[in-house]
Amino acid sequence: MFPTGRNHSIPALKNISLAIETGEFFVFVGPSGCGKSTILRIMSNLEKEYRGTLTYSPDLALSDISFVFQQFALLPWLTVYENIELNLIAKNIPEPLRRKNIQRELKRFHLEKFSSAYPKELSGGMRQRVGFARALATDPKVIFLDEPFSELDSFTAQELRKELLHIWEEQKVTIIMVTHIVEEAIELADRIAIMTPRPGEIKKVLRNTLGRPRIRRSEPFYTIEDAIYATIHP
Amino acid sequence: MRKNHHIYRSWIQIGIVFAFILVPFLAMLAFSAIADIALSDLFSDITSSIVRIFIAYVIAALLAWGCAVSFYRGKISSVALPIFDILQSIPSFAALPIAILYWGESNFTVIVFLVLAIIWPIFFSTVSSLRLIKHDWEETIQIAGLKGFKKFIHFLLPASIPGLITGSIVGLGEGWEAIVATEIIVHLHSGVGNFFLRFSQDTTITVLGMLTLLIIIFSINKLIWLPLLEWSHRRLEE
Repeated sequence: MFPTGRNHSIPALKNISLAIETGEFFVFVGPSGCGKSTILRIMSNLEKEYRGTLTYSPDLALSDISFVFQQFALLPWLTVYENIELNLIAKNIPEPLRRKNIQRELKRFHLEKFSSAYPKELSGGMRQRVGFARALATDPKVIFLDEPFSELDSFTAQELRKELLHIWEEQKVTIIMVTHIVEEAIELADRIAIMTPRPGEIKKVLRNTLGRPRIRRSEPFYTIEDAIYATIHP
Repeated sequence: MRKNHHIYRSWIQIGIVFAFILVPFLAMLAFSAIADIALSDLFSDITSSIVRIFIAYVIAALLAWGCAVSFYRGKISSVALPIFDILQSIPSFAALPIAILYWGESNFTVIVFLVLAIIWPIFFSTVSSLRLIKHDWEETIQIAGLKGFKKFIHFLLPASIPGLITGSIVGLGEGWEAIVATEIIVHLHSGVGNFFLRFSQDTTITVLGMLTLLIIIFSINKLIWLPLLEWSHRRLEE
């Protein structure tokens, strides 16, 4: 609910009913203001002011959840290494294992040379690599991503999308992502929830059975794209 | 901490730093000669005042920071902050004569009133810097699951340092103001207040004494607080 003044509030989301499978790549797509970010924050337990129920499967604890933020959300007083380490410290992971996991992620995202740099010394693309490294260092079972590529240049975005797909296929994590870019949703998702604003609703959940790797300039790709646009603007 | 955060960028700056250490001493020397006071007397008066301010500052900073971190947000803050606002508006110096009756003409009395003068700027400035913490950062901490003492050390402390330092600069300014008055009223036999009381008949010495004090306070600010302020802001730059 968004408060709109004294004693009034309008619902940001309405009639949302959804189950996400383990290991699924699930994407919410929709224009701004459709509540897709809010839904992600409710599902990841960041937002607690809502009416309804949220159930995790019994083997999923809150500490198994990671989050990648649109604006990276790195702490400026910590180095790259320390930013990644903070999540591990919070989970009481002993120092040798911390170091091992951090080195693994630094390597994966080509950040080894920058481990003692501060976020402000890095480009946007590098910062989001740190954001990904931080999210993955805790070996999460579920990763939430809130428009993780929208602040990046298209080359870096493309590279990170590939990396993300690779990680997803390799580690069998569940990925739940939000985007306003339709092509991005089609390229990545198993299922796409198409949302519309005022009030935020899921218009349709589309199963995307295109084989991977998905080619953007192809007939089946365009067909899905048209279907999504038609759902948003009937 | 990054090693290439130079405070002293060049020899010129080292020279300036020396000047700020040297000038206050020269000022004291000149003053003691003009006013015909033994340098040791002057030095011990200033030192005892600085020690009192320092003790009061440490107490005030710890209390203010602790309260700020505990009450800056959440349901409790909507009750606590108005209460603190009323408390800071209390004209506490009105209670000084009564305090002297109870606690005597003692260091304790002076320090209590110094704490009351120094604490509020630190508290409110720290609260405001905590309330301005980016929502993104708080979500990061929440997702990480950082709680309790770890959250204190790794998050709230670093995030509140700019406010703590800004508040300290203002608070110590008030502290210097307050110490002269308090020491005069409490009749301590040492400290700058006592000094100004002794020479209350002599306008020249009073004015020169104020000037010397100004030079000392300004030098302390320039040498310690302004570099700290710059450092703390640079740390939080994105």
